[in-house]
Amino acid sequence: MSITPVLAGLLNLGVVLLISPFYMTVVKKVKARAQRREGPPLLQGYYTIAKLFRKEVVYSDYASFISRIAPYATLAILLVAALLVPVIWIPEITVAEGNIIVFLYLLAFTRFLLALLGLDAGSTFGGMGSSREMSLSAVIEPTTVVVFAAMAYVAGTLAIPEMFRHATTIIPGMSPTILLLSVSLFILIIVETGRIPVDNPETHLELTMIHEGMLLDTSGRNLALFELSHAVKQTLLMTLLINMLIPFGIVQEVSVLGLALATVLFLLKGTALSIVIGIVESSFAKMRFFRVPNLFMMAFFFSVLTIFSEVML
Amino acid sequence: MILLLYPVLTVLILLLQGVQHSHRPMSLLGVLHSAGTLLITILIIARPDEWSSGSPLFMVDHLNLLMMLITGVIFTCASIYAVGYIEGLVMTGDLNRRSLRIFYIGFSLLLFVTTMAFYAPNVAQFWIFAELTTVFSAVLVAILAVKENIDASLKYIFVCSTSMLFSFIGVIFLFELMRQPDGTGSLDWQAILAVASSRDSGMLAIACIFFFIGFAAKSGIVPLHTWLPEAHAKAPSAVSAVLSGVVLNVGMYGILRMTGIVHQTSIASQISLILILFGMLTMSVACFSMLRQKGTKRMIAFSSIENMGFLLLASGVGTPVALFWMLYHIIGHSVVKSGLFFSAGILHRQYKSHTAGGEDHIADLFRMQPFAAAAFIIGSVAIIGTPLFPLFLSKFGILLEAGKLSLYIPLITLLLFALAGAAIFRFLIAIMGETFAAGEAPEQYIVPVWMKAPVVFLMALSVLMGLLMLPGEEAFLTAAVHDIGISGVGL
Amino acid sequence: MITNEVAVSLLRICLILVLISAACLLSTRNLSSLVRTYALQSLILVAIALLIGVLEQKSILIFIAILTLASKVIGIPWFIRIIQQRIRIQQDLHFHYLQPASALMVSILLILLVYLCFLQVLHDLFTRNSLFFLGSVIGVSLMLMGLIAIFSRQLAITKVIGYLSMENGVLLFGLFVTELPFITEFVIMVDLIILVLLTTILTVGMDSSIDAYMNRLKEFHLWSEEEVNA
Repeated sequence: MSITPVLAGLLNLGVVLLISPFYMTVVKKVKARAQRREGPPLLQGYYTIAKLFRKEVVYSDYASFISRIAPYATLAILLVAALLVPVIWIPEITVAEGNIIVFLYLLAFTRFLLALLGLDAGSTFGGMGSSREMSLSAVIEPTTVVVFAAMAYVAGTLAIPEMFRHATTIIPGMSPTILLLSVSLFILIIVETGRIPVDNPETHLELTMIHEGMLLDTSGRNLALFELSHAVKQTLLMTLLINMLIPFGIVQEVSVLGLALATVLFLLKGTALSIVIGIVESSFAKMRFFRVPNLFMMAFFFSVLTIFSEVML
Repeated sequence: MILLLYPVLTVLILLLQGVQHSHRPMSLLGVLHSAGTLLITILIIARPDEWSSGSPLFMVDHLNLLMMLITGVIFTCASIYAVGYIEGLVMTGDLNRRSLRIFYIGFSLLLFVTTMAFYAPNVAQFWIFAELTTVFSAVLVAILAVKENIDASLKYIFVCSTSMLFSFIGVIFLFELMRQPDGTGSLDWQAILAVASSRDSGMLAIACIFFFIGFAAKSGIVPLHTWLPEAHAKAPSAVSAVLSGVVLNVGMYGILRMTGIVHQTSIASQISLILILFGMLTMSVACFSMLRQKGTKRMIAFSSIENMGFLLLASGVGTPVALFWMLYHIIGHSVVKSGLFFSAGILHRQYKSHTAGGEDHIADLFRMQPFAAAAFIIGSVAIIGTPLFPLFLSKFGILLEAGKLSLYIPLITLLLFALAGAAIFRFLIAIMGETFAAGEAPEQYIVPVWMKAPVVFLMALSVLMGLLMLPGEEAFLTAAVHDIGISGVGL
Repeated sequence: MITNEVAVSLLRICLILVLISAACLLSTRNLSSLVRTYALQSLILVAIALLIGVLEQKSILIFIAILTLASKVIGIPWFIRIIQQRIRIQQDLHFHYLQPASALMVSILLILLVYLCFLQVLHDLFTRNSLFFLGSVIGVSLMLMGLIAIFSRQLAITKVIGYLSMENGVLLFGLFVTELPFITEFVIMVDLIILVLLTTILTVGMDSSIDAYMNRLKEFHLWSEEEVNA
């Protein structure tokens, strides 16, 4: 009986860790295709991480212990967060104590670590990146809170597995509140994972980078860990969206066949979502920094609307 | 069946306009249309047995006949004035000859839709025609095709039409209120008046407030007055007179009818309070704005806002006596205000500024334009409500009634009137003192008799009205107050 | 035939979509996508009219739907697009008073306000049919959001779109609260078309120079050729 949560947790972590780099690559591939390039092979994400793991780690002369622990801490925190979000299997018993608020805090904590890391190396780019990241997150935070609050309100619970369970009872696409929520969540994914139009993950230009700026001084294994945590973060947010909007296939009664089917389905749904993200990213231009709050306001508007429509309908 | 003559006449005139090429026949057709409308109205007034036998498009009672009478007089004067004025515009190249047809067709259509709006038997129909008056008057404002005019016209359309959409929400509420369980319902003014007391008053209040928004905008009530000074100042003077003397009344007419309906129910006092407050607000804003006006027509336009505010105040007071004087004030205001706009038009022709957007530089007033100057001064004296002129009587009557509610209303209002008077006379004295430096004076503008006649007529009419009650006037106005739905025997 | 439950849930989705389109109208800067958003919004209204028609078994709503489709989804956007090509302006970048972000904030407050007000006034409708109540709230909210669009936008042509969206709000409100006689709806539509034509023609004058404006009056056959030569 007590084996189930451990098993479920491990399965969850395994799936998330394994799948995450793949989704990152899919997005890159779609963007490359949109620009008429061949793009990386689909397994490039894994190759990159493997390559980086083999490289030497170089620290800045000014670096403190932060630079040494931040990569591990970030991944560890995200893995804890991953325990809270069931990907393919909602077990009867909760895997980990915690709810959507804890999840939110964990995400914010990684961001905090990242900002510290940017400052730690003492380079100007890192400092710029941290400052931008923090000002953006100050603006996005209310929106994130309201989006998650809307999710909690719609499902009537704070526990993420229970939300997914609630979502399975709804015919996909038939509930306006879930649709609205998905739009907000989608904007949140774009913002949280540093994608165009908010941030450009592929640039190393001084003026535009936010997320990359903070990582500029990390190398080797540490960089690999950050790449992986970035991918994990994206997968977690995507999971939230997928399992709220199109939860079909998710397993509630454990069986090997069911789990395999759910994994395949999740892989497909996630790929589809990554393709959408890639398309969105290629069809927008990067926004001016000061115009980004408008995007957040859209997400905010939609999530407030979600609560409204849930109250009114 | 005399009523059907209105559309017939309009169609006839429009067809004839279609085949004209030169200015004179077009403008004479315009005069014919307006005079014809006036004539038909007088005919209908003379034959009360025709009133009830109209088609479903018309409802005739004293109130709308009164409005139509004003409309007829003002339009006739304006169209006579236009004969000379528009010709001048064409001569100097301000108005493109090719726009003439649009102008006269727009003018006739404006007259027609105003007529239809006044005679509209139900609220929805009234809304549609009132909305159309905005459209056609906007065409007339924009006719000069200068950027400022187009700007003023667009502002006019946007402010009025968006507010009218709110009114339409009000109309929908009214319909919901009037709807029978079987889904049918009548929006007839009379029907609403008859059953208003038995309906949900909360919903009626919301309906009224929404309804008022649109018609307040149409009659230039603060805060929806912003379009008025620009549209009235930029339009050709013949059009300004019509806008001020007739189209503003369309809004007031709607508010009056609705006030009558509200007075059947228990919410009358709350709505009255709102009307009084907005009336006072409008008057204060208008009076203080008048103090810093430099342009003749803008000054007159703000005075229109002030008078509309006063009318709103009167409708808020809502006693039969107040409404009687309110109707009287509407007549007086239309007559005097159009006269003022006509004389301002003459001044504008004389002292037209040749820099774009610049104000006219008025100087040597009495030497160059003695007629217009005299008319303008008489008009100014009349509009601020000096005794001997009709506006004195109505202001006096309304303030007496308002004083019964609270003494502060007449007190503040009198103060504001004093302010308005001071503003107008400061302006007059300022322009009277100006002289041109030698050689700078523009050529004297010879005022055609077409432009003088309406001014003389309107001024004479206002003096006449102020001096004595025309025969039958009192009974007619009392009957009109009764038509609004506010019972009482009048004076 | 669509069952009632499906129609109701589709209606809800349509209502939400209407609000989303209104939010887009408030924040989009690109003129052609503004027009497209407006056309889509009208299309949603058509769908709503049809769905209510199915729900309440009223054939009159189908006529209204057809009328809306012809005028607002096809006619007016087409006309505005032509005008837009003439004035060669693609973007409306500047906002007065309210930036899109704060405009969205204000609209949230307005929706709440309308909801609370209507809860007082239309409690009858609320108890009878909460979906229709929501529809009327959203109708008025859409109208107020159109109002925000009108006064926060700078170009006259975007103001026209704001006005049109307000008008859509009125139609939505009318659809849900009560049914007006068809003839009234029809005349109102005609009225609006005249208004839009006029405004857009004036807009051409506003957003371009006067000489070009004169030429365009000719292009729209408002000035006949013989008179041009005269």
